[in-house]
Amino acid sequence: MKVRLNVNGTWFEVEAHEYETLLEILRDRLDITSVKEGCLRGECGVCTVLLDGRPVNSCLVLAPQADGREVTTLEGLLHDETMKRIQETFARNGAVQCGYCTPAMLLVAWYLVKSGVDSLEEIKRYMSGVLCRCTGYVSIIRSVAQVVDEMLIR
Amino acid sequence: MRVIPSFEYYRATSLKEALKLLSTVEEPTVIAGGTDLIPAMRDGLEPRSIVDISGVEELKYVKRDDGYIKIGCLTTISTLESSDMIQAYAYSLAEASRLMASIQVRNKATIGGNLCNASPAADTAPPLLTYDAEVVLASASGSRIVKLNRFFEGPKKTCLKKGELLVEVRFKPAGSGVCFMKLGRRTSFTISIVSVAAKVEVEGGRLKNVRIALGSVAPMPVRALRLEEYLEGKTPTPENISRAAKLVLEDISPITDVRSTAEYRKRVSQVLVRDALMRAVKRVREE
Repeated sequence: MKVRLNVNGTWFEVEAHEYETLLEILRDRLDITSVKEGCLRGECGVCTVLLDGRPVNSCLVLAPQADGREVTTLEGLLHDETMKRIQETFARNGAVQCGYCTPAMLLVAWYLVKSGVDSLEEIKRYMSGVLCRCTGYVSIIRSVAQVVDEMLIR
Repeated sequence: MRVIPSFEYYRATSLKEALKLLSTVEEPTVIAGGTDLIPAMRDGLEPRSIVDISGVEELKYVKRDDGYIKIGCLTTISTLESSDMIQAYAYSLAEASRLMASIQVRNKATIGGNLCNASPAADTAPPLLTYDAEVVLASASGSRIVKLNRFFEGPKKTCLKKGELLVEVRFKPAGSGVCFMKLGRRTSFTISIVSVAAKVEVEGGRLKNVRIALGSVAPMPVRALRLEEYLEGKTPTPENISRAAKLVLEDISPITDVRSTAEYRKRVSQVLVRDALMRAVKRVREE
């Protein structure tokens, strides 16, 4: 079947099977490789994308369910000022180890900063949907908290 | 990659179309948020046909109507978490929604899916049971209303008949004396070892219309009827509530599984019931 979807501002029409998922469309058809394959059951969060602006697990979106929708991935936010700030803070804090979870962590961090989240408890609650198997949570959470603080001060 | 087995795919764009598909398609399986179904398919479940209702906009709502709070089956857990109406009239459902899964899952998972999947650990069920909620089951030939406590029949089993769809959850607005608590193996993004919802009213210093419901301690989400009965008309003192909490054991039948043991669940159920009741009592605003 044909699936029409907007990825990072551009409309694409791709051929996909009903039993494939948005994750496969992004990685295998459109070469969007910041979106990673992990547990494939909505637990690890490394396949996170923003679907119509909200974080979801792309491994849990059937290809036809992505039809007509808007998808944002890290590739679409590379020139965004807030995203640049988050990336720089991650780098400064050493919040990247193997890097596999990093794109998803950045996306959720961007979403929560944009949503006006302002407490450490809420930051942790939002970030809990992405697992870091290097267990580098302390520097990740510290980075997000720093960005949130800077945004509040500004 | 664990591949999803192939299936016939049908997309509904209206409720009418969804009900028609459910009555004509062979062995239909409904997909809404897909957060339970897709992992099950990767684990080997092979539905013959899938009816996709996720695009049926008319089933996404939270409204106050005819004295009821009515929630469309496709309302997401995220919506429940942030809805002003749910905060005001079903606060423990908002609490349960907040504590459920991850933001990624809450943005897709629906209240209808959470109930129809009929997991003993379904987090929306205990609060709804304490509100004496009803579900509206529709089919191409009409609809019926079933009390939620009659809807669940066992793990993964409901009273849904062939061709029926759970289209709405409804209940009378709950007061402020409600509380949901859950214990998992970690704080965030966790499946419950035990979950408890409590609802109380206080009139003239005495408890009234006490409701307690629990998840993960029986083949389905259950009410603690013996405990409710015992507390009716009692004063809401810590002594009375602690004494009552022990009675929860009469209505639960926990098992040992990967998350916990039956013995631990029995102990911790009493603690959680006591704490949830105390908090619900504290939240009561005498109006």
